[in-house]
This record gives sequence, structure tokens and C-alpha cells, in this order.
Amino acid sequence: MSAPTAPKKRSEVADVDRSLYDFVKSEEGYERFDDGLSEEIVREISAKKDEPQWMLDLRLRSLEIYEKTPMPANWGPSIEGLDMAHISTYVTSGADQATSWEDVPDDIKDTFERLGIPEAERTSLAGVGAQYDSELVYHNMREEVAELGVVYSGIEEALHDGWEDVIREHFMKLVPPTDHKFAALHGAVWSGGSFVYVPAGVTLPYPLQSYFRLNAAGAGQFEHTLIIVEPGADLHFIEGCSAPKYNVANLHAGCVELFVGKGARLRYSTIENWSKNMYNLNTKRARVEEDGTIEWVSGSFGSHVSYLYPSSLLMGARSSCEFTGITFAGGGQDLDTGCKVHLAAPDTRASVATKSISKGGGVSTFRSSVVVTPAAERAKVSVSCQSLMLDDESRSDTIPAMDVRSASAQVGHEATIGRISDDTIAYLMSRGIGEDEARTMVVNGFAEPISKELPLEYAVEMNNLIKLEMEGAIG
Amino acid sequence: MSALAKTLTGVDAARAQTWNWLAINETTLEVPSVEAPVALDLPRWAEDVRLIAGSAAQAWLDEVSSEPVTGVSTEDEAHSVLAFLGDVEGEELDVSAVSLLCEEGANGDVTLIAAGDAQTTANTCRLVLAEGASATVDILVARPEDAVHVQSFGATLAEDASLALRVWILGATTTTLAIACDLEGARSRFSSELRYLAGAEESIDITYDVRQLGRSTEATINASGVLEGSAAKTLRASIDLVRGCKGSKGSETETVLVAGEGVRNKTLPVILCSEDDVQGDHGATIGSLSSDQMGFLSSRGLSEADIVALAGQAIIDDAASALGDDALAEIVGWTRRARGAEAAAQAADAGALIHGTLCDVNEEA
Repeated sequence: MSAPTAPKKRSEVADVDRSLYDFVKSEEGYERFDDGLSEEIVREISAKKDEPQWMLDLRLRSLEIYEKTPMPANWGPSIEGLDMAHISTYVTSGADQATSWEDVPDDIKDTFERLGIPEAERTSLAGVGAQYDSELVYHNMREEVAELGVVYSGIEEALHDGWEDVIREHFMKLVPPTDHKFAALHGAVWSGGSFVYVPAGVTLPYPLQSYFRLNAAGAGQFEHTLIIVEPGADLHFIEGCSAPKYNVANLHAGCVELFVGKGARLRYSTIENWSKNMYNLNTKRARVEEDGTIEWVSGSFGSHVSYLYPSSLLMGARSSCEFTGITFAGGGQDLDTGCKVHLAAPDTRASVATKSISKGGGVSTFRSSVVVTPAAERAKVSVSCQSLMLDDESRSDTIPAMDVRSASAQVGHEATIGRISDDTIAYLMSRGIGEDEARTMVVNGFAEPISKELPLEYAVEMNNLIKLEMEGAIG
Repeated sequence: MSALAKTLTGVDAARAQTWNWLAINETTLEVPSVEAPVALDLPRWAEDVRLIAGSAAQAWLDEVSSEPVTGVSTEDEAHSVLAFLGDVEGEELDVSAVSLLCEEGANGDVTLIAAGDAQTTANTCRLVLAEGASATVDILVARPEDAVHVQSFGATLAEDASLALRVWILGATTTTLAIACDLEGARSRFSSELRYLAGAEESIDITYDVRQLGRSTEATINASGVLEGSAAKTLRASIDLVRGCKGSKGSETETVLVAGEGVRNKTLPVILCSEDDVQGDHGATIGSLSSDQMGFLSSRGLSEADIVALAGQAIIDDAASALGDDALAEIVGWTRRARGAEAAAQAADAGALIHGTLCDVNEEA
């Protein structure tokens, strides 16, 4: 008889289940538009949504702009591997949008359960929207929040539910199709996303969350998020996204437009964990009025290539912006992330703090712009950017631009690039901690200023993602 | 010599570029063209020095350069180059090319003074420092209103070589400056101090591109300046910590006092890094004096205008005390014309304090 074996001691890294994000569901029975982009496809998407004529016109104008607009040749990661001729712009399970998880088809429900969305909704959210491929499959909001006059729905539903004038006034006004090539693509084929309206003076007790899951191989997701926070209101909105990994390119070209009214506050948090075959060409922009505040919390972990620079237009006096971001680029990833801030009114304030980590041949680029116009009298800006290199196969670049045209403004900028010191690792190892774990601890500590800005569940998810990325960091 | 004007594009381009709508990646420049371009005759060792003014700008610089100056410093005999630009009466265009080789263990120095009345002055300086060599390069731009200065500079450093580059830009309607430095050898070092002063409609456009290739190299770029009136300044400073440069350190800082309602200040401080065992940092402080600083200085009886004038004078005095006698006369002359006799006297005093040289502030330099 052999001696009983002691239970295997599990390491921190082994505790993380990679299958949490990387699982595939069958597309059998799904409706999938032909790959590529054409006027016929654009018209078909519009027809499916029974849209007003102005929206179809906007789509067609966007398509024209997309076809005429080149990608910039002098900056940014290569997107040579992205061939629109092999991307389907619309895929749907055909399931009706549900307000109860019981009514969501089993395999889709199982997907979101594995991602922890229903549980999060029960414990800590005021409302949830769940998009699967091109369409929303679930949308619900707590009754007491609805009673405050808060609207949280899909854009398509809002268009047909008395909000058409508001949407027409705001839709693609902050991010016009002329902004860049993939903003134009988004304008042509957008589908799904969220519309949020928070009436004046209303504070939501819990965050709202939209989760975007792209299941189909070789497909694109083009959701549009439009949030209007009226004067004096307060909202925390969380966006999550993931996809299984395929051997073909997937595309995400979403668009987020945020309108923050006088004295209002909006916190927009994102944990992005796209699979590493994803081209993430997303555009996010906020316009902030007098005394309003926009807070961005942004974690970029996934995707093969990312272009992501949430931008803040501080148009009202004393409006402010805080941007807190972290980017983790591993092998096969080229993540070009950062932010843009445009200060265009007196006494505006902006604070930017970012961290980036590169390992295993990953490329992380921090890119930012701070523009202080002559109208931004007494504006104050602080930018801090720290990068951590975990090996000598990787790359980390910082490319911050500042354009200051106000004589009374004050702009401060600092950036550092370095590595984990051998002394730190040696010290932790002398306390009995393995090298792998010691490095993970240091990286978690490096990311701590970001994770503390997230709700607990999301901070845990971010730490798990760091552990996943750190797997095999040694040797 | 000069004829029609020509427009050069892609001048002073940043190696790592960003959004084109910011109009910060590069500049354009209008220069006189020449009827009979010359073929620049360079020594073999100078041909491979990397220059970053842009292909069109460098081609123009090379074809209009007259009387190239070439020097070689040896361990036994240090070579000094002193070049004046713009001081030939009647010339609208004065362009020179300076090449200096410092052989193993040798020292050398170059002083370029662009101060005369010619409409356009320009210079290309190529520097090669062999193992253990060291060099100091000083560049002064003190040009009158409506004048243009174009500067291209490139240096290559071998093991244990060191280069100190000091630049003062006091005046010119347009100044462009493109500085490339390759720290190829282990433990080679580059340090640069840049001081600038611009007012009215003056424009300064500067690009640094430092590549750290050898192990344990060090690069430091410090820039500071005062912008008044409707002056425009762009500084692109790139430090590239190339894979293999283990143990290297790169640092950039900039301090800008914005003191005019029409000022436009652009800064693009870039660090590129493909090596883990390095330290890179950059910092910038741009804008007005803080309320604390203003409060302190006001309590000493200084107005905001006094403080700005003091900051500008400090840059002039720094040049006056750091540069030699030949430059001092030019600085005093420029200061008298641009800022008055009192400021010129102060610059002369600053120079005299260091050099013991008396300079008549009432005479044309």
C-alpha cells in the first residue's frame, strides 16, 4: 500500500483558469453576413434594425468616407494582417433581447455565467447589458434605478422608444465618421451597444455594466455606446469585453461617446481582455461641461493590435479629467494605447497616470496628446507615465505630445522606463518566495494604483489577468 | 549666390511620429536656392555620420555649403574650430560645413557663431569621436530679426568617448536645429544643454535623436527657455535605448516659461526602449510661474514683467559667461539691438566676470 500523497500545493498562477475567457460556442443556426464590406451589406444591417432614413444616410456617408480614408503611414502598429474582405460585419444568434437570464439561449447564458456577469449583476450592479457578437441578448436594470428616470437600453431600442431626437442630436457628433478610417467603418456598420440617459441630479447607487463578447471567428464587433449624464448627475459605467482565440483575425471597432453635463460626474471603467487575434481599433471620447468631471479607468490586456486613446474635451470652465490606465503587452501583442486631453476653458484640470508592462516580445506604446488652448486660462495638467520592461525581447515606447498655447497654464509631465531590480527579487526570495511569484507580486504592486480605482470584483479580475500574463515570465 | 526661394518639407522630423493633426512631427522651411550647387567634398570618416535634418534639407545644406572646414585632433595636438556665419558683407546666404575627427584619446572643440546680417545662415557639423576621445561643441544663434538659421549636427562616439553640446538660441525669425548622436561604443556619453529665448513672431524648431547602442552609455538632454510675444517653439527629443545597450541611462528634461498671450509651445519628448536593463526618463514643466513662485518673487518687489525679463537675461548671461571672447562681442551687440543698453551692459559684465574681457556695449559688435 502506497503512502497517501499530500495534496499538491497550487501556485498563484496555476489557480487562474485560462478557460475562463478562451472557450468557443457553436455558431450553428446563426445568421452571418458575407465577409467584406459593400453598400448592400450596409443597407441590409440598417434594414434589419428598421432604422430612420437619417441613420441609413449616415451609414452610407460613413462607408464613402471609409473607402476614401487612408490609414496613417507614419505612426502606429501595423494592421497588415487585417483584411476586411475576410471579416463579417454582422453575426447574430437570432435570439430576442431578454430581460431575464432565464430567457437567454442556454449556450449564450452559459458563456456569460462563466464570465461571471449574472452574479455580478445580482451583487453589485444597477443594470447589465450583454452583447453577443453583433446584437444585445440581454438588457436589464434594477427597478429602483428605472424609477429615478434612468434609461439604459440598446441604441436600437432607444431609437424606437421615444429617444430618436436625442440620439440624432448626439450620435457620432463627438466622433464623426471623418475622425479616422475606423470611425468611418464604425459609422457604416455599427450594431448593438448601449444608450444611457441619467436625468439631472440623479446619482446611481451602483454601476451599470455592458459586456461585449465576440464569439464568431473572422467577425467584427461594432457596438456603439452613447451616454448622456445630465447636470449634477453621477454615474459609474463599466465596460468589459472578451473573445475566444482563433487563428484568423477578428476586429473590434466600437465607439463610445460620453456627454457629461454641468457639475456632473461620469466614471468610465474598462477591463479589455480581447483574444490575441483581435484588432482592437476602438474610439472613445467625452465632452465635459462646466464643473463636470470625466474619470477614465482603463485596463488593456488583450488583443493582437490595439489603437486606443480615450479622449476628453474639457469645454466648460472648471471641468476636469482623470485618466488612469494600465497596459500589459505580452508575446505577439502590439498595444498602442494612451489618451488625449483637450483643455478649452478656464481653470480646467487634467491628471493622467499610466503604467505599462512589456514581456515576452510584447510591444507597448504609450501615446498621448495634451492640447491647452488660449481659452484655457489657469489650466493645470499633470501627466505621469511609468513603464516596466520584464525582458530584453520586448519593447516599450512613450510618445507624449504637448501643445500649450495659454500663458497662464501649467503643464507637468514625467515618464520613466525601467526594470524590476535584482535586489527586489533577491529580497523577496530570501523571504521564501519563489522567483516567479516574486515577479508577479512586484508587477501587481506596480499595477496597484490602477486596481484600487476599480470595484473589487474587477480589481480581482485584473490581478488574475496579470497572473495569467505573468505565467512563464521566468526562463 | 542665391536666387529663388524653395520650400523644404520633412525638415527636423521626429523618428517616432504621432498624430498628424497635432502638426508636430516635422516642419517645413523656406530657403534660397542656388544657381550653381556645389558638390560637398567630405573626408571618408565623415560620410557615415548620421544626420536628421531631413533628406531635402540635408541635400540643400550640402549643395550650398562653401569652403568646408575639416579638422583632425590627435592625442598630441587638440584641434579647435571656430566658425562665424553670416558676417560676410553683402552675402544673403552663408552656409558652412564643419567636420571634426577626434582620434583615440584626443580632445577637440567646435564653436559655431551665427550672428551676422546675412538673410540665411546654415551649418552642418559632423563629428567622429574615436575611443576615449572627448569634444565640446558650442553653438550660438544670435541673429537679427528677419533672419533664418538652419543647423544640422551629427556625432558618432566610440568606446569611452564623450561629447558635451551646448546651444544658445537668442534670436532669429526662424531657427531649425537637428541634432543626431549615436553612442556606439560602451560607456560613451552625450550631454546637451539647450537654452533658448524667443519673442515676437520668432520660431524655433529643434529635433534631438540620440541612439544608445553601446553598453553603459549615458545621454542627458536639458532644455530650458523663455517664450514671449507670439513666439512658437517645437522641441522633439528622442532617446532610443537600443537592444544590447545594457546598463545605459537616458534622460531628458525641459522647462519652458510661457510669457506671451500668443505663444505656442510644442514638446514631444520620446523614449524608445527595447532593452530591459536600462533607465530612461523624461520630464517637462511648461507654462507660467506657479502662484507660490509669483508670491515669493512679488514679496521681493518684482513684477511679473520683471521676472520674465530676469529669466530672459539669465539665458543671455549664461551664454556670455560660457562662451569665449569672440562670441561675447556678438552677444553684447545682439543684446544691445534686441533688448537695450542696460541688458547689454549686464551681459558684458557677466562675460567680464568669467573672462576678464571688457566689451563696449555702445559699439556694434
